[in-house]
Amino acid sequence: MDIKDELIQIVEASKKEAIVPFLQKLSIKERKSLRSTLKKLNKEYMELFWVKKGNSTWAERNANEPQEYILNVCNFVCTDLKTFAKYNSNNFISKENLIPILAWGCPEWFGDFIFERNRFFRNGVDYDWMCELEEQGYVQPNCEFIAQQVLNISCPPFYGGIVNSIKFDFKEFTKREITLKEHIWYLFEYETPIHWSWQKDWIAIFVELAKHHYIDRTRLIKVTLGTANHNFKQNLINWFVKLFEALEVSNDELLNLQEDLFNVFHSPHSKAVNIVLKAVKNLAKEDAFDANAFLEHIPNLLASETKSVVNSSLMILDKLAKKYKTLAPQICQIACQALMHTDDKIQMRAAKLIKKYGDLQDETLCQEIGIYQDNLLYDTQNLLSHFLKRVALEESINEIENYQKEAIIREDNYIPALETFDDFVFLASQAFNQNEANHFDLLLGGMVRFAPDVNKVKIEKLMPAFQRAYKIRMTRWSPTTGYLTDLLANIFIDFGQLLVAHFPESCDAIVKIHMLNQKEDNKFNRNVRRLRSLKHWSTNASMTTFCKTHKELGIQVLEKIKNQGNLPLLSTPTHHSFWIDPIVFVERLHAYQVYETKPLDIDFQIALSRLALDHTQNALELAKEKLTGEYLQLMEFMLQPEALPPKQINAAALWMSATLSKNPKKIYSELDHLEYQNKMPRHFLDGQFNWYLKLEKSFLGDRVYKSLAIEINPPKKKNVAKGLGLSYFFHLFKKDRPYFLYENLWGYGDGAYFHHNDVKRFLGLLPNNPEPLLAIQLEMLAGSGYKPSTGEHARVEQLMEALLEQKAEYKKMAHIAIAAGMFYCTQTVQMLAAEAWVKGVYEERIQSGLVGEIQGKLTTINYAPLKRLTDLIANSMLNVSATHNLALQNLIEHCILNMSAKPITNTKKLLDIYYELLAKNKTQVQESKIWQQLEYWKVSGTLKKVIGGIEKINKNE
Amino acid sequence: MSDTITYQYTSSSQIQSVDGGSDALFLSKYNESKPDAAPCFFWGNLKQPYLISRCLITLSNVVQSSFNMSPFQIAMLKDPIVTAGNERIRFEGFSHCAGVYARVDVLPDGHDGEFLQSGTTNVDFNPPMIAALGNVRKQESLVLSVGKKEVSISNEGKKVVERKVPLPTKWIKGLTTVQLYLADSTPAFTLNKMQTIQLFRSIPKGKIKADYFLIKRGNKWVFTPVKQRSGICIGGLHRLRLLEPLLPLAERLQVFAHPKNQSTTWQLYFGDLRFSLSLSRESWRGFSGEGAALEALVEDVPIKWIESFDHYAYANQAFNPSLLAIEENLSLQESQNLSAQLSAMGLLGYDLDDNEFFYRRLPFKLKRIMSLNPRLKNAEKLLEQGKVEIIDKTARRIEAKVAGTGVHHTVVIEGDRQRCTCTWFSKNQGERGVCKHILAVKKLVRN
Repeated sequence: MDIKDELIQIVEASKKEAIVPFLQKLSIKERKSLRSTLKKLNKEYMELFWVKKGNSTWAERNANEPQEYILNVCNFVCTDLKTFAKYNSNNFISKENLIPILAWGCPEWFGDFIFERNRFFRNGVDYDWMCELEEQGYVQPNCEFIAQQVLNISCPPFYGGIVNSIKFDFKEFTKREITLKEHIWYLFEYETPIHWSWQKDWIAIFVELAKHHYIDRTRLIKVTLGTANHNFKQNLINWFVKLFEALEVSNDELLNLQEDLFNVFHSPHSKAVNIVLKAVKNLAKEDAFDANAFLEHIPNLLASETKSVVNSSLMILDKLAKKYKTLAPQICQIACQALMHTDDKIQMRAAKLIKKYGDLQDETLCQEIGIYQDNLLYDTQNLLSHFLKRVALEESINEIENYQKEAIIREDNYIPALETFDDFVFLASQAFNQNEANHFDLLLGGMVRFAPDVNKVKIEKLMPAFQRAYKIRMTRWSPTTGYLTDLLANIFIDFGQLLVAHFPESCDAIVKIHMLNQKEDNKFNRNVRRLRSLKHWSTNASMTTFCKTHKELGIQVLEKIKNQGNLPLLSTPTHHSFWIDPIVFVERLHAYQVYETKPLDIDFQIALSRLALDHTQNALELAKEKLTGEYLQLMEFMLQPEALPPKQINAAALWMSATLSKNPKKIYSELDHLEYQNKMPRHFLDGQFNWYLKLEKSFLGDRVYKSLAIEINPPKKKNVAKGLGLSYFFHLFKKDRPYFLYENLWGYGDGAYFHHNDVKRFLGLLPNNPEPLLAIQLEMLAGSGYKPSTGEHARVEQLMEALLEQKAEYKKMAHIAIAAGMFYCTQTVQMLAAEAWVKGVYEERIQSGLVGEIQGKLTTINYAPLKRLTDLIANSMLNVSATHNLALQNLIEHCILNMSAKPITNTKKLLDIYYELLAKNKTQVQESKIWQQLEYWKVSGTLKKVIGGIEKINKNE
Repeated sequence: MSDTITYQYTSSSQIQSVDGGSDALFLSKYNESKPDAAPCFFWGNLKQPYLISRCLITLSNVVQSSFNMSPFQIAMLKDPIVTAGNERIRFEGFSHCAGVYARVDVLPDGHDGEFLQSGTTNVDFNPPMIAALGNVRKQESLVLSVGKKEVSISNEGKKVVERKVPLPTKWIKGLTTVQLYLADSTPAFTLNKMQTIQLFRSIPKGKIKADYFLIKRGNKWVFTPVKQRSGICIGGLHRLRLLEPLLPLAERLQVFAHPKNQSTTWQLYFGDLRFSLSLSRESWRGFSGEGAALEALVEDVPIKWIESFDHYAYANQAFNPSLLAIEENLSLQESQNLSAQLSAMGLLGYDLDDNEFFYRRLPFKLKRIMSLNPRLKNAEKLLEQGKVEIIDKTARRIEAKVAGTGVHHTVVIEGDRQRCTCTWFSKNQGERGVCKHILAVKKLVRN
């Protein structure tokens, strides 16, 4: 019998005891020759398969226990690491199993396996066995592995006889000299879960080891301090900080370890830095304190973002300046760095130190202070005024004078028109990638323009786009695809079907791909099939509302193509993101006039709302030259700011949309006879809804989240706002009324269902009158910052970006969005809201008072922490320009007026900023109601000082 | 080819006390392509030991960081590489995700030592050595030794320190690609120490997904999420926090920007020492996948030139493609292709201050480096399978049809403008290098 058969026999007969003698007698070459047999045996016996019984599922092997052992031994001795790792039973690597084998069959990869591959199953090798294996030369463990194993050393505690005294049995630690001499110190060099070690109190163990001189105490303190600069996890660093505290290091000991102490200052972990600073504070008074070395490290501390670190450092500097007169100039210069902080306490502490020890004649010091002049708070500036007088101060720039409002129609935002069929092909292939929000409209424009020209070759070029459209529709759900992209895919598929109907001989490829996908789609229940005609497009009941206008546009565009209408769409944007150059618009309109064709109602109304109305002279002249009749009347009205609509009009819905686009605030009496104007509540048209705040609680799992509903109408009329009601108003009108854009914006839609890729597209419907659409989207901000959904952050970011791009004046809804945005939980949204305010002030489009009023009201219901606003103001809104500072003062004053009489957390910071602004703007508190509010707040101890300061400013003291 | 790389160091890098009371930073080195290279590249004093220690610690932080991988993927540390020669010592490294590139340059006046031989090598960065670097003080003298000066020491029969890590393909490819981004970058802004610290303090907390723009508002530098034409765009802004520990020590910060916003480089100056950190366009995009060199690689540059360059050049020697073009009578395009080719082979680095390439041969086997352009290989595969058909070819316009999965893609090349209907191109619009279809068409047309 050859060795292969013998092995098979041993396995089949489960002769556990026979395997070791069998393998032992084989040469290395013979063992290797067994690999092919083992491969088969492994497959048969060791492969795992799933077993399901009732509700439980588990993995099993065909091998019984002895067979599993036999094959593990064979794999260990004969095969490579990969095979062994694949079939290894986790409990095979054990002292009991391996001792009989290692002496003659230890594979080369044994070390690799237990150190690396077995990373997550190290329990098989304990510290003691690891040392034995190393001593016997089987493995060479690396230091990291040893550090992990040291944690397993047994060290049972016992009571020491006195109450609360626990001692440890260090027998295992002293068993080998190397354990305490070398191995235990690896715990300070490599990351281990020592801080999780619930079985052993390692802090107590180290304290005891040092106390009884098992290990060197100085070395222990030194390495403990050293860990602060290792790239360990914060929890682990904090554990070492606890160890340092537990060691109760004396001042004498610390004086010998000053270098190590100072190195902790470079640690990114503020807890470690703070503890060491506390220790250094005590040392600073000692003669042996190395002040020069300390000063070397101080720049890091003064730049720290942790206030307590900066404050403690300044305190130590003060002590040193007092003690070492010769070091005072250097210390003052170093202390200047603390002036970069905007915290009043830090600035004052640094300024006092400089004033106390600084020399007015010291040019370098004055220059150094000068660097920070822009950053100095009012009180600090006063304190250091003598130093500042000695330097030429840089003039602050008032940027508002240099700010130029940019035109809507510019060269840099021009959207290249689709000139050739190839342009259309490349647009179609990227339109579903959501690269640009306006691709929806551009693709529709391209479809109208190029539909009549198709042939077989051109269809082939469009096939990648069709492939993508089908893929989007057939994918049940994708987190990256917006609902409007899904709608666009449906429109494009229907466009393909139109082409098939018109050019059957050229469209084989479309027919093929459609049939292929239809076959797939037919496998699903009728109700959830994806390949439906556009009229039946829906993704989910609540989504359909906000997509309604786009869907209607798609339907009408396809109808136009079907009727071979190839005049260009009026609503296709010419400039980013959704603007239409009025000159191009007049040209487009002229084409319709020449061919005596009526534009699509929806297309015409969207186009009017996208018309750029800032520079209109050339377009007006062109209109007068080329247009006649109602088109000319319409353009004369749109392109002249003071023009009024004529009393006799034919297209009522169109004129209504035109007036809303031109000036949503103004009610033109000439149109009073229109039902839209005399029957419909105006806020559905101009978006100026009433709003109020209320606190809601939502439940998610067992946690309670605070959330807020900003409702655009009182609750009893909630349904009115949500669409039902609007339909009610429209019931008053004629049934066969023409299409009116605003009628279809309202429905059951809820802002919370917007996909982030749809936000800008939706707002792009009415760039001249975005308020009604903003009102719908405000739901997104309702949850303030407490909702932890990433998708929501992206949506709100898009909303803020759209607000920034908005050219129309900010009105009520925009103000709510900006005010609430400053409280949002992500800093990016906060900063975008702040930028919208900055831009609004530059362009005089925002009422800072209204923003403040909304924010004040938001604080009364605990909408979000006030700190978010105060931090944002300090970092992004303060000192932008003198005009901004005045606007900011106005914002804060209105905020204060609307806050509750009981001060909330961080009111002090808000008042600090207010105090600073009053001083900077050289103004006084005018409003008596503010004084009334400040009087209420004065009761609070923390606010007393700053309110006192404000009073002083008012008295010009 | 093995999917792991084994660094074999003769011993661990460490800081030892040497005669005269000073410390010596001994860096153990390993070069898999030239294991028998000179035992020691540099030996001598560093003039700013404290600062260089801080810079090396920051470099090790970069090397250990990752901005788009799970902790499981980043289990193993990759070692930085050092180039010594031409009076300069440069330490280079990448984050695991290959989206952050860092380099420490010790300039000629920053050291006082001898270059025993020039060359590039991996150096062992281990936690105890990094911890020891933290203890280096300003007044201390520090000797740097890249490799062992005394050959006998390394031959004392000590055990070899082996570290197996998964082959860092992203790393190697990043090192070959980032240079091309640096070469296109230009100086944008200079900030003093106070401005730099204030600016970095305004970095929002946590992981930042949105793009931010660096602008100057009034007298203050700020990051804003609003797109600004005058500003430079930074994706994955949080990655800049890696520089924070060095800011209080630096004299100034110089920001370099890529003209198409594909990367930014943040260079800190400490006298004769520089630390630069380059960020890729987004935190989830490494320099490795950007395909910057792809178009240049389509061109065939005579292997002879590359070989002779590799043979005669020495580490850190400046390489000027324009000068080469004049000397060798090459067209400018050819010389640019040559620098892209050399860079893709791991033979060039780029110095933004000197505005020129420098020679350094990556310490990895060349065949590893050359196997790293899958898009180019896929393009070649398309050609081999005859999937590319030229439809129209004039002096101004090339149109081709390339077979894809289930459809034919249209490729149109008009001068500098090239377009394809495939998903990759539709999504990225050429921002991340051209797709395999365009590459295949270009290669076919040129051949």
